[in-house]
Amino acid sequence: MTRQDKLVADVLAAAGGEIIGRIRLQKIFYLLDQAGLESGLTYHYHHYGPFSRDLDEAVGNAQVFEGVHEEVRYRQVDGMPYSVFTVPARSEADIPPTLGRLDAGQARELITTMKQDSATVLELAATIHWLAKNERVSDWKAELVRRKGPKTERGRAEKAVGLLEKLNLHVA
Amino acid sequence: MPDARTQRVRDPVHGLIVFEKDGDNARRDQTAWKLLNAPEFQRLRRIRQLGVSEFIFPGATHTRFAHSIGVFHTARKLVEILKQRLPDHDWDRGRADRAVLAALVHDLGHGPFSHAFESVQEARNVRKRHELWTAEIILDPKGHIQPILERYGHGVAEDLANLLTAEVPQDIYHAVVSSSFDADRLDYLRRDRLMTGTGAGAIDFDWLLDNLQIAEISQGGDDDVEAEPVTTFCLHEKALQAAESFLLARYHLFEQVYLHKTTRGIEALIRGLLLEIARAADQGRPESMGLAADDPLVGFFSPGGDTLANYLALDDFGVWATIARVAQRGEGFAAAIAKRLRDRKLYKALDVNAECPVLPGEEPDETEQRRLREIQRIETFLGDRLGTDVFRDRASVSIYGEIGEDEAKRHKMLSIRLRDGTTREITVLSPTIRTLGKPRTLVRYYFPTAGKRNAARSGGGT
Repeated sequence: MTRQDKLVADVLAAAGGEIIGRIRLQKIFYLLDQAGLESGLTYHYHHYGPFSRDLDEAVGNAQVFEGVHEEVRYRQVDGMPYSVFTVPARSEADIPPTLGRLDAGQARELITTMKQDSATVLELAATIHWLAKNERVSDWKAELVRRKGPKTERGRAEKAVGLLEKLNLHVA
Repeated sequence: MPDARTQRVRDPVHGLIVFEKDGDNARRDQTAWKLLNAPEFQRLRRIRQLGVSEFIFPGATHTRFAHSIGVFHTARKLVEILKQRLPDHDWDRGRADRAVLAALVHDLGHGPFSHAFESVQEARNVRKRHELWTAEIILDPKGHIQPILERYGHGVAEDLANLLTAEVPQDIYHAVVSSSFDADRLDYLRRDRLMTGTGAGAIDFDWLLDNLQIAEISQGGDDDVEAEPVTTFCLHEKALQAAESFLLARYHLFEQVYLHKTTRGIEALIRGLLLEIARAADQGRPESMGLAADDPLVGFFSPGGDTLANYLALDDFGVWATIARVAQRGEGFAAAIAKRLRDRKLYKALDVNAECPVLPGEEPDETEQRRLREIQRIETFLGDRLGTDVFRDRASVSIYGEIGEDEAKRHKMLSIRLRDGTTREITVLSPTIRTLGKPRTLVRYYFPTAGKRNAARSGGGT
């Protein structure tokens, strides 16, 4: 239907065909956009950090028009539901040379890097970027702890900063 | 407390609500009464809980003031349950009382027509949500709230502001203001149901509270179980059916009240009008709207005008007065919208779900495909008119409320404690709830005339 619907399928394909969790999907798109994707999506701050309603809509559309599949799974420990998004494997010929404004190879590398971290680390990384660049909070470290509390503990905040560095998204 | 008096409020949901002057709770209750009488709190009498829902449900004129008192009353009940359930060494009277006071002041930062106003601010790229305004009001030393709280206890104002803005619950006392069974939710669902007269679902309040328990759940999102657990409320499995009814009641309220197509259409008109006023104020030409420079909305939307004092000058009454002035003295599109709002001459809705009902034997995915194709057809037909002549509204709702709103937070999902001591999120246990776990999308278009709506309905082929 729209360029963004197709982008959802292309990002999933670049992610090896699968992204686990709605939070991961949202944060991967947000961080890719900061890295130059230029998806045209708009983001606002919500409970888990930057969130795009447009992306939520595009994910729904992509399930109908772009072959994206959503499966609901449940966490073993407490039964909390989460979604797994997949697309069928693609042949080389079907892989576009660019993902938005990013080179496809570069995008694949960025996504692979992001997929190695937990949903919480991705949430923290996107939130740090949002606080520093959008809300322009000078002491974003203190604000991150105030908003995210124990999620920032056990080295997760440091991992999030490290992830931003790896993505070349530097915050002062 | 020499000037203390027992104060009583009659409430349609809870009956008699007493603010004690004697006993263990006197200091807390008397402080609550003083907060209630502060101008910042009295402003909530001029902000309706359901905004423009009274256009559709004429009884729904209840205010955030009445709701806040109900939340306070419910929070007192919740901390009594905590006192019974927690071991003595874990019971913290100070934390409990601060949670109750936080419950009372939790809505101070709501603007007029709460959600419509916030969406105007989002469209203007202003990133301050009502929770942050609440914190600013509580912490303002020049206001009336902060001094009352500071007299109650040093640092209490800051504690309350932190409690209301922290996204991750700090402890079980935090669950009183943010959890699957927080005082806010337990009041608004019952109050909105009563005042709208919808009778949607049923909420077995006493049974739910009697089965309320304390449990730890992982606060990590998606599949992340590494994040530290958080202590929050859950329900004993004896209340599984009551929990199902509670969630179903909420789901029906979302579908029938909060996301009602006419309500959303009016909100779209208000949003459109407020954006026009904001643009005129920002460009220093409020007179083009028929408004003076000292109009509260003009003051707030003018460059550098988004101060706390200007924000506190905004309420539903003031915005309606502004709408009446624009209708009378303004011109063009803004005046036309203002007149429509004043006289309830609303835009005509085209509801895609109503246009594409489920067909016999059709799978849900097939219905969704037809609806999305219909959206594609309508938007191709409308072209550039979308967003100017025609408004679009989209919302996605599941059993946990509106997607993208805070209802889907992990600690706000409903867990059931089983007899073996483990907890499970309710969709695992209830097939009824599971079927409503998948989000349902509502897309509506609003047209200035029935003719234009009908043209879009049939135009452009299929």
